[in-house]
Amino acid sequence: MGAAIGLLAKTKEVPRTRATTESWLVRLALIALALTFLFFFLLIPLVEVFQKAFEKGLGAYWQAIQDPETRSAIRLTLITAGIAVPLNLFFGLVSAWAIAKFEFRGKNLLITLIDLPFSVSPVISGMIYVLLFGTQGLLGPFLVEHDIKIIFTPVAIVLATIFVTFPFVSRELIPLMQAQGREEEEAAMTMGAGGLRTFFKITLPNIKWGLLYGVILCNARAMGEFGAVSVVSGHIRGLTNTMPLQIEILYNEYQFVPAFAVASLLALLALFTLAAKGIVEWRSNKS
Amino acid sequence: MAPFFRRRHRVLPGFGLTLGFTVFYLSVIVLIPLSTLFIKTASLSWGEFWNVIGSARVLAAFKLSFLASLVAASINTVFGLLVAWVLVRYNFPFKRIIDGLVDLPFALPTAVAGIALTSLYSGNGWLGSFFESYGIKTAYSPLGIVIALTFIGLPFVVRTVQPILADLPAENEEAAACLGAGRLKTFWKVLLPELKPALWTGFALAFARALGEYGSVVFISGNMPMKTEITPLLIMTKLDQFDYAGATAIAVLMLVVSFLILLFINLINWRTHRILAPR
Amino acid sequence: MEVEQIMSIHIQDIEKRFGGFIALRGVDLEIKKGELLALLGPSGSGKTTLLRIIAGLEAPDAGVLSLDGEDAGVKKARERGIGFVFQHYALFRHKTVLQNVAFGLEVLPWRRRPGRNEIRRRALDILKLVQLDWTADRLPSQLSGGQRQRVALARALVLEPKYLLLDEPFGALDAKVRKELRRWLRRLHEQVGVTSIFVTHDQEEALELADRVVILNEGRIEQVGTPDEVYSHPANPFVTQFLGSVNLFHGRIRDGVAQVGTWEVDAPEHAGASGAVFAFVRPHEIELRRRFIGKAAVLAQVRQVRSFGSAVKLDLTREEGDGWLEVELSHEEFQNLRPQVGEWLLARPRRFRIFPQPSEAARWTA
Repeated sequence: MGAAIGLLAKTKEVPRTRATTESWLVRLALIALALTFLFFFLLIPLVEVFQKAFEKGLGAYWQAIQDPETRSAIRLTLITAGIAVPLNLFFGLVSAWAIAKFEFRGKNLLITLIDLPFSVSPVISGMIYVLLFGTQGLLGPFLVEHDIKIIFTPVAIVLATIFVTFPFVSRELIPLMQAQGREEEEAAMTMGAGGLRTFFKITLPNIKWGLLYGVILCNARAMGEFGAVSVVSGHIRGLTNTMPLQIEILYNEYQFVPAFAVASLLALLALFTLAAKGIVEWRSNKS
Repeated sequence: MAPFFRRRHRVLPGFGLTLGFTVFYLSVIVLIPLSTLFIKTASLSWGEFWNVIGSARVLAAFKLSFLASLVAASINTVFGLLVAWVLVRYNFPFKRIIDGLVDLPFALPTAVAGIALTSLYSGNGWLGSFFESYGIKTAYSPLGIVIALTFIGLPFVVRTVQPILADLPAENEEAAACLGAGRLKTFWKVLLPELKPALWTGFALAFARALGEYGSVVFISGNMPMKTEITPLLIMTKLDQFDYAGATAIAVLMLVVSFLILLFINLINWRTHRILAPR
Repeated sequence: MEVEQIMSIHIQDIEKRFGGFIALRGVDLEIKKGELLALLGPSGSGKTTLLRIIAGLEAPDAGVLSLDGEDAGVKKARERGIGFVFQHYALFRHKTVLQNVAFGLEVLPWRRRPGRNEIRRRALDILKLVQLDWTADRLPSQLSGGQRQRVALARALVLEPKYLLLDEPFGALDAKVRKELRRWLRRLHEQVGVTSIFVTHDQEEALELADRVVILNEGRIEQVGTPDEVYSHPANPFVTQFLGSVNLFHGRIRDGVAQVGTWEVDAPEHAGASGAVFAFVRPHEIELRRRFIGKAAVLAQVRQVRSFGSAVKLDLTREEGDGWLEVELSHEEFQNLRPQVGEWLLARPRRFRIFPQPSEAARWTA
């Protein structure tokens, strides 16, 4: 739901004059209070992940990651993200082109519908696929008859992941492309450029930072999704476990070091995401 | 009546193709799966629906989810405003990094947050043992749920308030100062009314997220029926027991609540826009 | 002691810099009780900074500011008894007009705060004074620019301030509204009698409205005086050029007599100076004739005639040297002369303002 707020606040420094700032004591107290809050709610949990992961030393950590079930969970996570992210990236580009560059009725409704997965609880996101493809589901009898299994297979995991990461890219691109208008593209067309050529030469360079931003967020969610995936996975070890699901299983079996070892990989991904996000914002502010 | 898509000359190509694909993909991935929820609901009678919703266990879960989300969103509103204020108004070391770190709950997978918080606040975790020495149980209690929900909702208020606060003209506060208002009065009477829509929006977003949250809560809550069982977990349990009807009834009610929250946010934006529009 | 009585604001050697930019470099100024004073200057001259320092919105780096004989350096903005009107009004947009005006009363410490009804009555009284009591329950966004500025003024007046400070009060308004508000502010000042200082970059506004005008440039005061003093007797080339159009001649001076072209001009005030001088002539101070008997004149060709308003403006090119000559004739003079475009005429200045050329001459002629 992070992207629901759009491109991050571009914080601008307001020059403070004497009449509109607080005494240094108040300032210090407020900063201290805010940092204390962030320290306990952000930093400590983050540190805890790495501390627990390396509690028994580097060897134990390495061993935990080498575990075959864990490795297959990592593989499934990468495959899932590898399918979901490009699909939603393509959808993001196509939908943003249709919505930002043309006028048509029902546009606002379409945008609202695209945003829908953000406002649905992850558990419900998974559940709707069970209702659709499960044995008692809408298509259940048909699937059983043709011996097709979707629920409790990687296919369902990919589908649920596509659902929860569905709006990320288009959410970033639509406002960006709307703000840029269509004059540049129209100019290119009048100079004889074709549609695809115009898109790659004119549109894409203009939106590259927003696109990258959306992809980064989309990827982070795709690799980290837990609730929706948990509903449809069936938790079959070595087969339908993604990294977050593997963490759950390990943790519930009191295998804390392996659980936190896998968690630390995802935490690294989160840190990488934040860093990339910061860089992208900085670059797009500059250009 | 005008046709749905008016034929007109368009300079740019690909309208039909891109809109067609958008609607198709949206239908396959989002609309059709979501509609199953309503098809399933339609097959329930009111009696069945109320049987599920009215059961003590479901009511307890809803009550817990609502209260915990309310408390967490409130905490986030107060501290989110504080964090946004400090980040916009003051300078201190590592401000940039701390600003970036605020988004951590968006980026960190919920399962990771869940086990980290549980490990910290359980009886032998270093924060949990601290609280336990004062007789306060944090993990495996409603308090633990509030802590997890506060974590995942933290960025919402900060990120909605931050840009508004940064864009406020200094002149307003100077005018207040010239008229004799001290900083505290200026904050209450001049700044807070300006920030109110953003605060409400942030609160509603954090609240909505908290209501549906699953991953970070299941570990820390302990999942005791009637005591620490949240609504999404109840859906999960019903699904595990193949009680699709029960799960659907709860899910639909949750969706309705999310929809109301969305409506509320839109109402705030509409009202703010109306006050400030003809500037 | 008597001086203390009439001097309301006393500014001594005020300096202010923002990073590398020097906004004020040693400003001295005395402001009399009850007067309407204009701070006039181009952008970047430091006029707004000076106003904000008086208000306490900015702290000077050096110098002394005293209000009614008291050092104001230690006083916060809200303790100074000033009313401040911002260029962009700075109305509280979530509050109604009445709530905006009542704000100053609402935030008084409770011991001095009047009751609810009293607050309402006083706010309405002030709104009546600015003729906007009928907008009391509207939001600022529902008012026009001129109305908003009057609300801002009402809000600043509600606490009966000792000093009213206005930062480019008409800057954001269109020309017609600006003229109306100007006249209206003048009347209000006569009515209320509060010591008022306003900042403007519009010389016409300053000259029409103010009792005295302070002309600032690059952080220094160039001249202080009544509109007539500064317009008719500008202290230096900057003021001369800043206040209205002017024609420039070059000359030399020796023993108190300046030689400008073929004219000899007495300039006893520069008796000690020698070397190059500027000689300024305002457009309406030039006589145009077909011939002058026994008097020196320069030959100039009419290029353009613009007739509007109270005067006829002519652009001519001089025969000698380069450059234009701008001449303003009354309609009567114009009818008598009936000059044609392309015609050669003789021009003779009635009076010169002589200033010895400083070494950094380029600064003024640029």
